[in-house]
Amino acid sequence: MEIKVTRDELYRALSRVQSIVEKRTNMPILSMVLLSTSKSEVYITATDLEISLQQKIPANIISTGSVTISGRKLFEILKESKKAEIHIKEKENNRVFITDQQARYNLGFMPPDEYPVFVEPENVTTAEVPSKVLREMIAKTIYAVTLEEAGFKLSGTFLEKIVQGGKALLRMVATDGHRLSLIDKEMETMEKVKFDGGVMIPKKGMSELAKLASEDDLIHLGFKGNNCVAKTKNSIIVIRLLESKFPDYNAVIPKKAKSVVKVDRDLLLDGMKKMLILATESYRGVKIILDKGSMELISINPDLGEAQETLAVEYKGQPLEAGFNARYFIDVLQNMESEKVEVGFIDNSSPCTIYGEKDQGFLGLIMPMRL
Amino acid sequence: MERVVLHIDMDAFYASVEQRGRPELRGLPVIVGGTSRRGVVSTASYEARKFGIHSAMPIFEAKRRCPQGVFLPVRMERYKEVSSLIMEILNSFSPLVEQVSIDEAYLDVSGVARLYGSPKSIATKIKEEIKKATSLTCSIGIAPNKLLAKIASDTQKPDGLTIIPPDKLHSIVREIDIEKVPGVGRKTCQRLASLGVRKLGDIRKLGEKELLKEIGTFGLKLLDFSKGIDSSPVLPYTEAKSLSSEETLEKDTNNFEVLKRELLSQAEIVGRKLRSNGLKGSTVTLKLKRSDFSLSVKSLGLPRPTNSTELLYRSGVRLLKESDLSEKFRLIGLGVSRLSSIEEGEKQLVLHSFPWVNLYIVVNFTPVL
Repeated sequence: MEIKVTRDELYRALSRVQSIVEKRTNMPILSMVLLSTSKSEVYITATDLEISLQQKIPANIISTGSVTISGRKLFEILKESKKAEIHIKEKENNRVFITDQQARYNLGFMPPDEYPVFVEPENVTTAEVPSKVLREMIAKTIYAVTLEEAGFKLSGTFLEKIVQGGKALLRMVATDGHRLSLIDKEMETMEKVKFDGGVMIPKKGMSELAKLASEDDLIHLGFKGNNCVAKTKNSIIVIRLLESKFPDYNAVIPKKAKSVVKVDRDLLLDGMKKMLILATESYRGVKIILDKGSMELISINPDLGEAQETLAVEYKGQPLEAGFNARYFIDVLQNMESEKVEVGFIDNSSPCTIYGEKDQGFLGLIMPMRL
Repeated sequence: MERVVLHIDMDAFYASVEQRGRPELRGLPVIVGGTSRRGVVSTASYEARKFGIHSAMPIFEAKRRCPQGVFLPVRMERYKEVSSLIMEILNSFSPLVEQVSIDEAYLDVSGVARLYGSPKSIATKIKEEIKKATSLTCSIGIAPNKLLAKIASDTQKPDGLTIIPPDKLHSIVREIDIEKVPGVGRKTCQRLASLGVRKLGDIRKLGEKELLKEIGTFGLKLLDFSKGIDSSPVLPYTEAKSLSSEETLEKDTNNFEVLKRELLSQAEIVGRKLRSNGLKGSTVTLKLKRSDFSLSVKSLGLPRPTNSTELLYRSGVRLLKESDLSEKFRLIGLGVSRLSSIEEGEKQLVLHSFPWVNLYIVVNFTPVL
């Protein structure tokens, strides 16, 4: 194989796969990217066996073939190069020659036929999804996904198609058991896509989808077997779905809040950030005290001291006190867009709900803390 | 056998601990409490009480009443330390000690007369020993049951000793103000007042049925109280105070590496005990027994309670490094104390019926050595 490509385009492609190429060495081939050619394009493939990404960029193909190159090293080579064009040539004895007409690199590589085959599931029905909407949906849910702590990779974002008032909606739900974020967006094109009962996509897959969504205006999204497939003009991503069952989240969403506060989103967000200053591993609670027209935030940390702020809010209900993790409020609020948000409470042991007029279809749910 | 119950109540505990540590504060109005504008008074020294300051009063109100007062933040760790000293003293007089709060306990001394003398002399000894160990004073009430012991300790403060002898019981019980009875809050008090009850003795004018209707089952308890009856036992708190593991070495050694290895397995045993009991500890103790059977015991305090094997091990190694290893040892042991429950403090509530929440329970594992 011998090709000449634009440095900038190859660099962009390589920087995209850095989050996928394996840094650990239990399977060395996964630290490589696969470069293979068609008539006028070069395909750059990376995989960690859970997520596979293939990008294509135009190239001057001098001779066809394929090579593997360390994803990390090729990225660094391109990063340091100031030249416009990169020349890559396969040599004998599994070596590859890379030059930008200034520096010359001779790298050993692993046989391309050992690289995990990129299988694009055939006959996938996909729906055209506006990238902007997809990005918004992911941003408003991904923070609530359980961290993959101690090797538990059981959780991810739940995607489901629902029909409401005769219209097809795409729903995303994420939860870690302490809070839950949900968003519905109308998506007519979803109608023909089949994924009955919903699917669960791992957190890393969701963040890769979000990156893909910033490359193009439209994404083709579909599901086949155990995979989620998403395509743009130049990229395809295949994400292995999680097999664990998503819990019955509908049961935990309160039907109606008892006390509803209307508050400036920035005001509450800033207030929570201030309360977080005094949070430590053992004390992360903020007490919210509601009274007519005011919402008081108090953070008490026996190791450090106390913090307090009173916000002017629209509230006419009964006085109420409840404790919460400030971090959870910040996560929800900073991903919303509405100027004012409606925070609904039931009591100090039931979930609180957060809605915003401009955050159409979104619901944030946070369980209280006992302080 | 006559029951004899003592109620020991430390005088202005937090404030006294502060004054004891800083002699320059003695005789001054000391107020311990939340230091922010919203804080409330936790304890006011007797000097401060002269200004009408009492616990639960907002700090700003206390500052208004006594601008020259010395306002101090709560140092819970310190008070806990002193408290455990006091409880230790109480435990030396009777196994039946029920600690009700950081500065308050019941002591059942029925049947220890042969060992320690009359209830009055026991109480005097307790006061002396507490004073000797902590230079703090307390007030003690002596009575045939918990209810009256508490009321007795409250009648004379500070540094009081009040006895309710069985023969004076009824005349005293009758005259107790109803709001002083433990368990009677503002609401119950108002309700009882509307029924014409001001003193505990007045309760007897009401029938069982009426009491049950008006205040529920607590009413029946009050009726018992009004007759001077309170059969609730003094329940000692029996949870473990420390956990440890020790091992006699195969042969006496002072080899650092060998001792370190031994510590790791003991840290794991202690860590596992903590985790399976839902506990964390914040003092780590290293025990070394030399070949001549003499002991070296060193402790260190952790900034935060832990049940992590790794942290216990690292603390143990630190103590080992500080130890004199010139002689050989025959036994090494690691212990933790100042235990607290994991559940203490804040608790994040979870959404119902979410299965994977349970995965966050600490998993016990044994490292491969």
